[in-house]
Amino acid sequence: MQHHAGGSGSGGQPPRFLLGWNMVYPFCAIVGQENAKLALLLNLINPSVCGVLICGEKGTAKSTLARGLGALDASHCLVELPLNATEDRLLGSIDLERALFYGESRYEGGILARADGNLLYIDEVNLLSRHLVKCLIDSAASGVGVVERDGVSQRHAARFALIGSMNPEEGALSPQFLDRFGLSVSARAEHDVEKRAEIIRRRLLFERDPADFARLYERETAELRANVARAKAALPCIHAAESALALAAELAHQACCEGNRAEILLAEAGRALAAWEGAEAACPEHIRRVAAFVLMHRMRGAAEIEEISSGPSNAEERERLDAMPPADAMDAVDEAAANGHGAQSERLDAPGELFRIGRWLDGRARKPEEGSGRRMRVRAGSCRGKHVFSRAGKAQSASDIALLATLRAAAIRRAGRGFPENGRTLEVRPEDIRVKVRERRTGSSILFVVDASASMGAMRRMAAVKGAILSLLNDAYQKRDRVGLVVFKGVGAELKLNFTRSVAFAQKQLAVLATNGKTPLAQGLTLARAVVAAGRLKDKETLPVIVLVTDGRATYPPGAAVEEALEAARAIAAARIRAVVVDTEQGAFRLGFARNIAINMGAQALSIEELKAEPLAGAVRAAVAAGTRERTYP
Amino acid sequence: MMMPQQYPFAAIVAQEDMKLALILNLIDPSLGGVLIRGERGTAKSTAVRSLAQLMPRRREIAGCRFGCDPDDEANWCEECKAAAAHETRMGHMRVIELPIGATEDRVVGALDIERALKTGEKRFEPGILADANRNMLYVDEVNLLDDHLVDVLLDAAAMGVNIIEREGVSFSHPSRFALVGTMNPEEGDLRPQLLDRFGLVVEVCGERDGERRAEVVRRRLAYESDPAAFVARFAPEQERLAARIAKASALLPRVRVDDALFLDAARIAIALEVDGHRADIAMIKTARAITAYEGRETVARDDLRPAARLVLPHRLRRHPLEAGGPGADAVSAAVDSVLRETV
Repeated sequence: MQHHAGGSGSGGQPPRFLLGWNMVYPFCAIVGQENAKLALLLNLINPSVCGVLICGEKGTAKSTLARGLGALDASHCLVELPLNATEDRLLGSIDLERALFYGESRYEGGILARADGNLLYIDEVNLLSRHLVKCLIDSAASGVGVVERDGVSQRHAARFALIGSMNPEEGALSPQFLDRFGLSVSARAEHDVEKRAEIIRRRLLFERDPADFARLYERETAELRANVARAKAALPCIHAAESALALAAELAHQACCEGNRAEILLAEAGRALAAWEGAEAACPEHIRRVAAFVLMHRMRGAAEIEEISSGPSNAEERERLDAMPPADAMDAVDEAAANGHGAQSERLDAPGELFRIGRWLDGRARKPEEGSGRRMRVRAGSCRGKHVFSRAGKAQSASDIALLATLRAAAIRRAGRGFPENGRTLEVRPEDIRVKVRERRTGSSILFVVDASASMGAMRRMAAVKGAILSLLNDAYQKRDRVGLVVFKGVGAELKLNFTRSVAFAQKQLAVLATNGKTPLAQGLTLARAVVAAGRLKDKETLPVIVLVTDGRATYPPGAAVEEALEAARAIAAARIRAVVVDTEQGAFRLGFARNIAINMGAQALSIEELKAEPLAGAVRAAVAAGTRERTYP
Repeated sequence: MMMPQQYPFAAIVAQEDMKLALILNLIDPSLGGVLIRGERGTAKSTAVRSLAQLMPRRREIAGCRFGCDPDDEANWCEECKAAAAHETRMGHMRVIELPIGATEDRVVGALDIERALKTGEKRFEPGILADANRNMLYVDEVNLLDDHLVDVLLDAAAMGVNIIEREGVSFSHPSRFALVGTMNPEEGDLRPQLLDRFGLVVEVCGERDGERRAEVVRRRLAYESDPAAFVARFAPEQERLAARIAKASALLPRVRVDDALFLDAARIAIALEVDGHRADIAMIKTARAITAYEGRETVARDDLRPAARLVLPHRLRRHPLEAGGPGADAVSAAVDSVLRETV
């Protein structure tokens, strides 16, 4: 691409956008990321490996890796599923034109059909709509795409390898979805100065002239293609040695993976690696090297651990925050693998009690007065949220009608009765109306009501408390909840932060929170109730939750502190506000005041220990430590 | 009734960082756009809308729904690629505003249902992302947009193409634009993931200097009482500015970046523990655009300073919970230390 000189008003060329929109950055030109590249190549070599999940912070070439891979293999193409796709495009539906004008109900395949035999890539896969995720899981598991609605009944083959990229900061995947990915790998930023500089240099070269840049890597790319082809050809003759299979089984067992998929995947990945390296069979060493790819996201409980932040970060903390696989977790798995080789490691039962921080609020999206647990519903007058699919139903307003689906339904109905005599007039009947189902992450509005009295500052309790609240804030961030903060100490309560989506503001307030004075619990609760009531007036759809963090020892106003606090608690229950009490009482002898408050509020009571979710690295270490103890054979 | 004339860009008092960030995006549209954060009443919207007057004219393929560039065949839309011959005409780079309450269909485009019903043709009805191709897309209050809409915008801005798989439509078209967003941070920040996708971020606040404040008021009143005269008063300055921008974009392809500067940029990013590599790339490209704006052909090490200031502060937050962090000061400190060390 040439650049032209220009000048405004003089008829010259204006600045040029430099990126070719159909030029892909060459796979071979990506600096570093060796693990990710290997995992992706293994997938090309052996499709039974079933896909790769690339996790990493922003700006680490995740999408570039996936798209580069797609360009590498001529026999498979990369089909992309955009986040805002609607269900009818994913599963396919009838061809409207043929229905309207020829009376034919002819099914037109969608993205899943196109993905059959190919790679299906989803960028930001943790943000994919739940409905689409469900469709995907079903198809990925069965290898078949099924459409059964609106007079269309179709099944088609849908065998694809799923490639996903995500930033774990933004939320985790459900365990069922995670399981659909054969391998998982993390993409990291480069910390070596030279390599980092090289990344910039290459990117700028690519942007200046993509075609030219691709030519620079032609030879390397051709070599890579040839190697992949060679490995693929060799694969059918490569078997896994008995010792390798035994190791695979043992590792899967130690990692407490559910079902047998883990062993199978370990074996398949091992075979792919053996083929790649020109070995004749897959030996335990190969299994050991792919173990981290296969096991990290499957370890029982591991999938349910979400990111937590336990305070100011330093380099070590950052390490712990990586979802998968952090370096020490990989070492841990390696250690387990190494030990599994030898004779004696204890059989691992369930890893220690692991708590998902999300569980503290069961049925989060449930409105107390509505009872049913369905998250997705058509809301009267609500026009916010992503429109992902449509259903038959009564429309509350014009904006609810899914026009295309409605027309399709009418066309299908007519098509079923043969070609119409009255020409092209399409009659739309009430039963044809299709209504948009909008998916909106109905967040909660969480009001933290924090006890900042002197007793909370005792025994460094506040540090633990702040850590717990930060964990909850992080969870709120991922679930897109709103947060607010009420603080009570001394003689009164104060609204420090009204409901906001910026959890960073809450964290800032928390950082400067100092403890002092008596405990005016009643005032805190009363103010909380008022804030929630005001919030409800502004936004009827949100679900308010009060999180009271206290040891429950009300001491203000003197004499009537406890009774007033209990009364305020009962008032909250009467107002049908969901609440949770985090009991910060420590020590062997508990007075149980906070639990009492909880009972009066109709709230759950949890201790900080009960809230805590061990970060992934910790869980792995624990699991492996248990695994390296004495094994007793049953 | 005559349309009111737009307040001239050159007449905006101070706010140099904001003006520079916008100008740099005109010089190099691949910089990745600007996010302007600031309190109310700080000329954010005025600046963006006024920018249109400085935008260059350029050739377009006549009749193309996406305004394809006749000289840039690699990036033509499907229709232009299929056509045998093309007529060209002179067009203008524009500022496209995203309307408040825009729905996804309107932004991304949809099936032209009327045509489908009348003639049975499945034709794509372009949305705002199509209009935005080769232009500047302006989104006011970007932090109040639904997340999935911001995702769609940023995806298109990053990839340069809009891929639609919705409601009977399977289509893609070029959509390369500079994204300019404004927001008031009091109402909640953008998620770090989205912040990182903006090339430059500038903070604006109200003028603190008394004399300048008075000048702001003076000029506004003069403009409102007689827009034509006001515009005429600043016309020479506007023309100078437009010419300077045009020269800079012509110069840009010739600007050279020394290898040493890549290393410097990498060191600065590492020192500040910035997530990922977008910041590094943005730093070099911004320094390059600054160099062109100043009429030079080689990027100097000192050019990294203003570049870092524009490109890094919003990427320092390493975790969604950290509130903003030390920001601009940390950035200059890091730049200073790196430039000093390796002299």
